[in-house]
Amino acid sequence: MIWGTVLSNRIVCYVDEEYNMELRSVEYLFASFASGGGFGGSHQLPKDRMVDTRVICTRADGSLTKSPHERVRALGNSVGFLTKDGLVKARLLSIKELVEIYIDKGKWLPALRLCVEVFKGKIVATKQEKDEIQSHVP
Amino acid sequence: MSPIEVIKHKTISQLLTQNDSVKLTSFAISIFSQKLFLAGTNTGEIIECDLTSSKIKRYQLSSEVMTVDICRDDSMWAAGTSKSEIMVRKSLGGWAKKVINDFNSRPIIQIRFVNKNCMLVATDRTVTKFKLTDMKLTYEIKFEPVTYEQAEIVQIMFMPLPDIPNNAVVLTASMNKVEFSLLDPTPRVVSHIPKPDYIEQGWQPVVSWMIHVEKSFCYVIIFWKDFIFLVKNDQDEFVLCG
Repeated sequence: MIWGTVLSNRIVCYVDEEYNMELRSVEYLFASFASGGGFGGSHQLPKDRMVDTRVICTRADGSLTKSPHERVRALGNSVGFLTKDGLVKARLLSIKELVEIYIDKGKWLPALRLCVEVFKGKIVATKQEKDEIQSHVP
Repeated sequence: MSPIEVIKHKTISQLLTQNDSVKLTSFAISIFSQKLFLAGTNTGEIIECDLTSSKIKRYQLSSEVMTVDICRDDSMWAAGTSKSEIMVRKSLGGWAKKVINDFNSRPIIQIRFVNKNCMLVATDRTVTKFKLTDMKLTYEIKFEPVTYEQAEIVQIMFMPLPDIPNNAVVLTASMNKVEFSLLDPTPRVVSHIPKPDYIEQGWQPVVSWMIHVEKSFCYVIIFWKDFIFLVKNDQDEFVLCG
């Protein structure tokens, strides 16, 4: 992992050396073996378009310490990346948006599972977010 | 299914196409209003862009801009360079500004605002708290060390404390440890997590945090090579719990 953050106080997001961005709920990462469930997904970022990591200091042996910070930044519910074409933002979809996309694609079971896990507290959500999806669960 | 939507920012792309030799090296966007975009370049230029009107202002420092940050209320911003210069400036055409030409001769690797009266400045060796007072045309700045001389700092972040509204914890990631410091009243180191032996030298930790919604405490998340550590923070105690 070369970079990581927590998005929307809910999803742990990390980027590996190949610029594959993984998103996992805290439950998925730290408790899923015991209790099951959680949520995860991934997204491949365009590695060849990314700006190189910056050099922050030179060690005594002449080698360089590089850091991706400032080229990649957490921006609330999204992550900003500096690319050769400018700024690209990867925005985490809200729980409501995710549920609706699942439903539009006819994936009723994952939509229901997501709602159930939110109400069981396995996925962190505010009261407003719970209210937004309440109509989708029995 | 990917849980994210990817958005390319057109105004910022247009800024870049104007000069091929200039490369963006750092950026910040105002978190709440999304109104202000700030970028630093390899030539020492700072570009301030009002995203609602697309008005652009440019400022110049003498070396590569390593870091920029915008205060949470958008009222001011700061930038730091590889030659230890720091610029603090009122945003969107305000008059107040302060330039420090050589802070401590080390490259400024990160600047982060805690609020409009306080920001954190990290070089590769030190973290310093800047107390800022707006004097209309300039800023009065008082310095307090947060961490003392240590090797290869790579990231700083501040974490609010739910129980203590006016205080924060400074998370300092360096190549061989992650250190936790209370910011107020006088900054002091309260705990640290050393690099575990099973992580080889050369891998740097990345820190973030989240608040437990129902119970008022925070978790620090540390990404270190292939591992993710969960550290529970309660008052000034930090306990590795996952």
